[in-house]
Amino acid sequence: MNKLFGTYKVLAYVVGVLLLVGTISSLFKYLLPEGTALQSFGEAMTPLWVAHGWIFIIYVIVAFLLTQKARWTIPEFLLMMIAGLIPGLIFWVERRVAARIAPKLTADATS
Amino acid sequence: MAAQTSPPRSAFFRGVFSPRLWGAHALMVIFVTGAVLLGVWQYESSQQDKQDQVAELVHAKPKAFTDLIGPNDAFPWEQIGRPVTISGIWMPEETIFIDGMERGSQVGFWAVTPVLVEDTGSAVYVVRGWTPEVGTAPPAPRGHVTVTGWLQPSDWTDVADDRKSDNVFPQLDVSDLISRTSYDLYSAYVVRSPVEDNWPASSMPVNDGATDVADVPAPQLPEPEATTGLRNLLYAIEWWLFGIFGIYVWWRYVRDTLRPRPDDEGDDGDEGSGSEEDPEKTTQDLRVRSDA
Repeated sequence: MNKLFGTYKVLAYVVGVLLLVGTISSLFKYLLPEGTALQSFGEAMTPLWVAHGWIFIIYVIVAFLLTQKARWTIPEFLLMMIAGLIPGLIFWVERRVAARIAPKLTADATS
Repeated sequence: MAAQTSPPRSAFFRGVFSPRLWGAHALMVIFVTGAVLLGVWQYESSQQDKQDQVAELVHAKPKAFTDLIGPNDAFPWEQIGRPVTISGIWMPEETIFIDGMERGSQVGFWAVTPVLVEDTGSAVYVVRGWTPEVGTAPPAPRGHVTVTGWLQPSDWTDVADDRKSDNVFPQLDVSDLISRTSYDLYSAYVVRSPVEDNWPASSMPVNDGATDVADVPAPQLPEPEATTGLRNLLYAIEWWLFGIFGIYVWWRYVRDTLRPRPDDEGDDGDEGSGSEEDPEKTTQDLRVRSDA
């Protein structure tokens, strides 16, 4: 479980950062006038969404395995999943998961 | 341990249809339908991207034919189907016809006349257009020409020409035609392109031999780049994988909900549908449930 949570944590931060950068880039791409440096920067960053998509899928699978192991409910898993789609939310969810999983991790370590 | 087995399979399946799981079923159906449709949408848009790119290449700015291929060069495959402009002199006496060419429901002929490229002294066959009969075909053009068309590789279907003496051929195979003419031939031919929406503006055709023949679409289109539409294709695969994963989550949820409870009817059952679970987990689940 310690390992799984470690994987979850890393993936959560990667997905969170990709989502934030992706969202900001897309705002640049669609909101700024064409031809400006920031607008073309936003345009150049679109492949980021492919990376986000695939890492998000891995994140969701790891999150699911973690909820299974920790015996949390499906709604808890759905919250973790949605957190990968709403910019910024994942950082809060990750801390929530970390706090809730802490007792289980120590139990793991002593056994 | 032995007492903690699942209820009989029949009870389990009855449980699957119980109203308390209807919500989960509905959610799964909505999610999977959504994922499949979003995948299809992305897949279609990746195909559309490819088609758009092909259409763009077909009507790109034409390049000079002599820039793409030399008289003794092999066919430049990366330029297949691209528009080219040829300047030279029609060779009307060398006109040939290609048999068995369809236009809608009709079968007719391609009227093909070579153009001598003066700079190189080599000739290239130009498909001027389609005609229903050889006998009624318009006379071949003469004189100087500037014609735009799509670069095509020599045909290689290798159908035998049963009447070798005439000027009708079963395919446009440059190697068949070398023996017919005393000129050196390019290892390519060109299908004359019609002028559409002022394209090709930079090199409008002059004396292009289009009179009284029908336009012919290029048999071989340009290849889109391998990366074109790749992003959308990857999204499509993602959505479908996501849909499959949704089914898995739904299944886990249904199974977890229907795990044996001590007070369920007839739980002396023998069907161990939960037997692949690790025993520790099953025990804990049972404990949690009896607490509830």
